Amino acid sequence: MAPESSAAEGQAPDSLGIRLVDAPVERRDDPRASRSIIDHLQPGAEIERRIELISTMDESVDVPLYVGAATIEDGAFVPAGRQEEGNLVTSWTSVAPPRVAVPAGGRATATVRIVVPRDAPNGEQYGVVWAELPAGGGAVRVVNRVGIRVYLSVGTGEEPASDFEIDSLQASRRRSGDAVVSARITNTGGRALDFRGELVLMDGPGGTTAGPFTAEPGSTLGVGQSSDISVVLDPEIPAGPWLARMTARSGTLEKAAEATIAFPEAAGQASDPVEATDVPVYQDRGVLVPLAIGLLVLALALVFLVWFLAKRRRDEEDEEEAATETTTMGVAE
Amino acid sequence: MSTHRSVRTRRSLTASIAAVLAVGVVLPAAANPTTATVEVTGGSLSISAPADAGSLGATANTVQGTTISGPLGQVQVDDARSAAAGSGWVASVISTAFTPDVGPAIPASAVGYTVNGIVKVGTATYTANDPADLTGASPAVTASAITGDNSATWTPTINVAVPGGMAAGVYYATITHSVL
Repeated sequence: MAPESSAAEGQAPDSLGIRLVDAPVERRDDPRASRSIIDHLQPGAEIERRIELISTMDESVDVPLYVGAATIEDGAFVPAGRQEEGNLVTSWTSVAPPRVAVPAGGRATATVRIVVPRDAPNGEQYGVVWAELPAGGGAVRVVNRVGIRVYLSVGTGEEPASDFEIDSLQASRRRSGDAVVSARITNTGGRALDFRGELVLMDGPGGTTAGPFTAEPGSTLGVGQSSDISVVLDPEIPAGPWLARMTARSGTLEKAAEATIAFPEAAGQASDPVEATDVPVYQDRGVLVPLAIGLLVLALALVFLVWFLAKRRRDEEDEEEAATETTTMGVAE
Repeated sequence: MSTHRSVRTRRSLTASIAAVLAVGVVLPAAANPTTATVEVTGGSLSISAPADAGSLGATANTVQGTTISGPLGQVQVDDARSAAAGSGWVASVISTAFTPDVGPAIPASAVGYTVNGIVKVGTATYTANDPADLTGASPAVTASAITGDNSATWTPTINVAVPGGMAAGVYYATITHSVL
């Protein structure tokens, strides 16, 4: 069978890829939900999500599929090792089939099933659905595996709202001379968030503006956790002062905050963190605002139309009544 | 005549309010909980098959101990998921202890990993960490700010701090790359 090149676009030769096939309709606008299994489930609920394995190898490969535990710590989503104990996600989640033969240059599908027991505790749990390649190497074996993250929130009510705060911004200079702006972020909502960040520097020396610059790498925060996302800038950036605006995003949630900062002149120094003030994020709100405006216009038009028609009928009736009265008066006389 | 008109006014007002309410009530009922799904398009997150790392080398037993280093074979990670600009992945690495057929093992805490530079294709930022202790999964390469298809390729080195007085023989271990 000829290799399905369209299935393996953007994939190296001799590799195994994994992708999520099903995402919840209500999260269709959330880019995180097309990469990871992110759900809020009631105790007793069951869901199924298909995954797909894609191979660019020359021979058919036997791939074990299994679920591992994970935690979120120090700003990262950390998977448990292969021999480590499982957690609630691993006990509630299974993959069928547990082993799949992926044809040379082809694909195979499997189904992830999550069954939440009726007595499941409220809260968010983390795990990974793994696809593992056969080990290579001799005395030192190398196992390569690729996975799909699971962020599973369990609760009897509505899904906990997601929220975060950008607490402060801090300017520093590394020993290498690179200027760095760090934003301290706290996850104040009820679900884990994967952050990306973007920095703009405004009102600089001579009225200059710089950016946007991207924070690297991002950060993953569990509920109630705090961490920094940093933007590394060229050493030639003027020390300032600057009005720095950091915009942080997780999925469709976005917030921005500003603070006035100045980079230290000497390498290996950090300025004090400056409390950041929230600012509105100017962005296209997609469907929501035009829809709301459209509905309002429609409603007003409806009210006006009904009023207009009623008024016209009233006017016609008044004319008829006036005509009748005249006739009546004529007869009485 | 004025009573007649006010009745008609009230009726038309009621009709218009009812019309507005009818439109407002229909929309929220369309939302549906998690069981309804939509199919995701796009490529995969992939990792290359491991090369044959073979042996890291041999060293003589010494009193003060020594470090053995050796290449682990090339690793390539590609991200072709149709993700919004700015997404990323993390490649973590973990090691078992180095265990011989006879004698005590060298713990995973003595095993370190050096990324040795990343060859990249596409728009993304790659951050390399060289974890010095592979007891728990530690990030080795983190990709962020991804825009479009991208790949990172690296040929890492494993460094094992061999304590003095270890038994002669072959030491076996498994090193796992986890990409998610």
